[in-house]
Amino acid sequence: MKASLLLLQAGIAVLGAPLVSGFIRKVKNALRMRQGASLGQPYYNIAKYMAKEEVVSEATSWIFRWTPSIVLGSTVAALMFVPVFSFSLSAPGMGDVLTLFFLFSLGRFFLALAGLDTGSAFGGMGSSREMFIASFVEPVAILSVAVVAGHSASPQGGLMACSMGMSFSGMVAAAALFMVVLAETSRIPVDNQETHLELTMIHEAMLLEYSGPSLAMLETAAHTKQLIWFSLLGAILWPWPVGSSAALSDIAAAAAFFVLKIVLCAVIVGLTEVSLAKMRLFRVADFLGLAFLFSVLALVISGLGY
Amino acid sequence: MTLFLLTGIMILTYAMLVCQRVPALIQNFRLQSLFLFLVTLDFAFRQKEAGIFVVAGLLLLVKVVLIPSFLNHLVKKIRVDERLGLFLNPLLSLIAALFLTWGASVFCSWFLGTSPTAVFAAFVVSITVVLVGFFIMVFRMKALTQIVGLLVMENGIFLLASAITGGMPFFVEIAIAFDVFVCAIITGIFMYRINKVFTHIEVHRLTDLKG
Amino acid sequence: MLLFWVVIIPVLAVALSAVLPARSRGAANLAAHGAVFVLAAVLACRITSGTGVVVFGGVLRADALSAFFVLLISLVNLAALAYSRPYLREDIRAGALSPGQARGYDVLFNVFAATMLVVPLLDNLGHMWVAVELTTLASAFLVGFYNTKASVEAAWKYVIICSVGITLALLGTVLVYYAVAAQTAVKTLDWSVIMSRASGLNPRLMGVAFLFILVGYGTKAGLAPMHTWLPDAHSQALTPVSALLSGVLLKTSLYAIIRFAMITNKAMGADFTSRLFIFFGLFSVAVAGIFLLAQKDFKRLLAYSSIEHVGIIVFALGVGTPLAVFGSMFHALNHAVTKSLVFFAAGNAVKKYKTHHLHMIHGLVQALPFTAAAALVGLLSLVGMPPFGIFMSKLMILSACFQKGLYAPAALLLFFLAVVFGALMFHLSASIFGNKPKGIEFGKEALSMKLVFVSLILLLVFLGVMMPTPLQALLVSASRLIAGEGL
Repeated sequence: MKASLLLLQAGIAVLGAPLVSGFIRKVKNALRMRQGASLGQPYYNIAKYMAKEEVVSEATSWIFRWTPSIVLGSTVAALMFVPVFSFSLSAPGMGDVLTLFFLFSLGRFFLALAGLDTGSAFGGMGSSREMFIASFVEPVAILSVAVVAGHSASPQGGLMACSMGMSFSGMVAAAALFMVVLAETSRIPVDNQETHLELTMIHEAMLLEYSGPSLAMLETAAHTKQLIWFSLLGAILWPWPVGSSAALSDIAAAAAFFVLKIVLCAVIVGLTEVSLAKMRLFRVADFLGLAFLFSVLALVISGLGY
Repeated sequence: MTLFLLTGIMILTYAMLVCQRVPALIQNFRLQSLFLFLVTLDFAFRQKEAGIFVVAGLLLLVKVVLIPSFLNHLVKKIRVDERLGLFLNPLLSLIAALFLTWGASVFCSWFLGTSPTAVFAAFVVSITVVLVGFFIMVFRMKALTQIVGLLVMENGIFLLASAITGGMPFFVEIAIAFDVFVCAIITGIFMYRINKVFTHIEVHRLTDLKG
Repeated sequence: MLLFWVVIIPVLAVALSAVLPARSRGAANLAAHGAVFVLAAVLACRITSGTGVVVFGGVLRADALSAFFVLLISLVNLAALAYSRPYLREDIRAGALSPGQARGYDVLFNVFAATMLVVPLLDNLGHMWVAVELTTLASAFLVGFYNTKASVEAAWKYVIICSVGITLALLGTVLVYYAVAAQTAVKTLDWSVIMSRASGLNPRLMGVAFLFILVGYGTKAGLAPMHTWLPDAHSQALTPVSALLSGVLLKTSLYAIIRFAMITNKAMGADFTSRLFIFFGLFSVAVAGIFLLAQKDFKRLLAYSSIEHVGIIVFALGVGTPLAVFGSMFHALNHAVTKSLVFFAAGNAVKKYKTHHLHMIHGLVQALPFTAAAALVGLLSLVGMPPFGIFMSKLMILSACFQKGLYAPAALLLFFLAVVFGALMFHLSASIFGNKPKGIEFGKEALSMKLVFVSLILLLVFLGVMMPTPLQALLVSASRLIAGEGL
């Protein structure tokens, strides 16, 4: 019963993830006083890719062909660990925070290799930039979530602890996590999703050589990763009370609350994207250094007991 | 809610440290004062005292509307280079700020002992704001940053007063607000004069008087 | 009612100065400040003979300490005003100052005087903070009056450093407020209320708070190492304003420190403040002595001398016995009078020689003999020669120090005082005596200026030789208050 609910939740999340991206785009366009593409545009894109023929370079190896599956698979697996609707529906027995981040790292690792695999200049450049940013982002993410989790001193630790309510260190860690979210979901000020200019793309550069269903899989994985990060942030900042049963009404209420949190996150990210300009790469280091500072600060404050 | 606003104030304070441009610094100060206004408003709703509402309104008027507009107007008139000269690059400034915040939290534990989270958070944030204000006065080259640093220190002390004592007596708050306003105006006028006489506003080049 | 008039008359003078034409303006100002001085004397008499406290409307409050400081402030105000009229008249005649600027000077002078006068009379510590900050802001324009590079730089440093100090003092005030609110059920910043409950305050909290207060208000008082604005501001300001800054403004900040020290002493015993005061006092005198040796600027020399004297006053407060505190308050009065005298003489010399540079000012006795005589008297008084006042106060302070058994600090103080003596005598006697340079002609000062000099010299001698009994009574009550026996 529990497993099927879990799979149902994962399925709904994966299907709904592109909607979040569409919503963010709508927010940005509204702020720019434009009509822009419709809410369902990411779905049309994915459908379009699925229908097209895939072109694979002869110079690539198995890494290039297997990466989309690995990335999508690891992202959906990570989805299983994150409390999306409520905490009773995550899988604590199978792993915890570190598993989550290692799954993300797995996907990123293969994506970076795939970018290098084609031998084109764009891919290699995107991979190196992605790894550069990842080297800043991963410690911050692990530290922030660990601070929030460790503060509860529960025997399981892990993401269950996110339900304990707000503490000062949790707030500061959430500030760090917001910057991490901007970096991981490839948003301005770190990366621009709407560009394909050589000097400015990071995530898009690694995907550049893909086409057809592979590209659809990678895009879905990107949308899902974004949803995972938003729900993580929402769970830390504004958790749904634990101990809620698996009763249908409870789950419905949790789902509604979740949707509200995601909408809020999307609006804030949209606002951030519109108000800031994309930073040059060496300034991204400063930006993420600030995030690291916040996570260390959260650690210090939680050490003092707050 | 208060915790969220306090963290916001702290983030803006650090953002002030890594600012590289003068208008960005003034905008950060304006946002920080806005968050401070929201904290005071939240506090006023909880205490339900009319005096605190008036103080909050005064804070909004003076520090969010009047003083940043005045500073922006001055910056436009002076037309100096927008770049903020930094004696210490952003990353080192951030590390220094980390130590300052750690010192603030140690001081808080020593001073208050154990206390509820909101009070601890407010105390640490306010001492951080004061120390960061002092930091940007000392380690930045332009005269404008010294004015903003003074105002930031004042913000921090206001937050401290609200946090541990529930705000200073009403008339004292009014007088302090008036005083801060006059101080900002006068230092602004002096900065304008420095620019007129020296044609720059870099304080480390004001070295005529020595010994 | 008395207190109300003391505060209101300078404000009225501001309004009048803004409106009246030049001739009547001078007379009105003199009348106003003369009236304030008389009222201050009346207040002092009333306090020493009466209950010891005068209140007005719950906002203003005067005890012996306040009355003494008000007397001091009004005296130096009057002297500076009397001096500034002939001083500026010369400037206006020479065309260096426009009539509009002269009016501006009068208005600013009165604003400055008003803010200084109100500081000792405020009971609430928060209000006192605001008044002290307002003195900084009011005097900023007076320091930067001439729009030269040096004066604008000096004014900027003055405003910024003093504002930082004052902000730290606000932090200290908030901490004191917290200490009071935490220990007693009353949330108040009124000094009189706090004093009555001071013995219950947490010593640790008060200690930290007092540290912030000392560093904060000490910046405005000119204690080393926070004194860096002082030489610049005092040397670049207009001469009568320099006299006010040196003689009165520093003492006003010291007043604030004393009020907080009284609370802290009651909360945690006198040792803590005593050690801090002795350290800062000695350090200030040392720094002043070292910098005095290598001075080249006339008015900067006098500014460092102010730092030295403030150091002595604070040192005496640290010694803490009633005799020492009496000596310190007396020293404040003596120093104010002496510094005004010397600054006025220096102002004349600088104006005559058109330079601040000490090496270029020599032979003053041949160029301006009256001024030279005044400068000589002032110099002798400043270094502590009898029969002038400073000798008596220094003697009291040192003997109190020896009485208490603080031999090492006293020895250090004597050493640094000797250094200061040497430096001042060396520099100033070279300026006063000798032959005047070729381009300078013999000149005469205006009669009013001579009157100011003579009255100041007479006052100095009076204070040094025989103190009038009412003044002595006032000083005794003030020192008793500080040393903790009066309350």
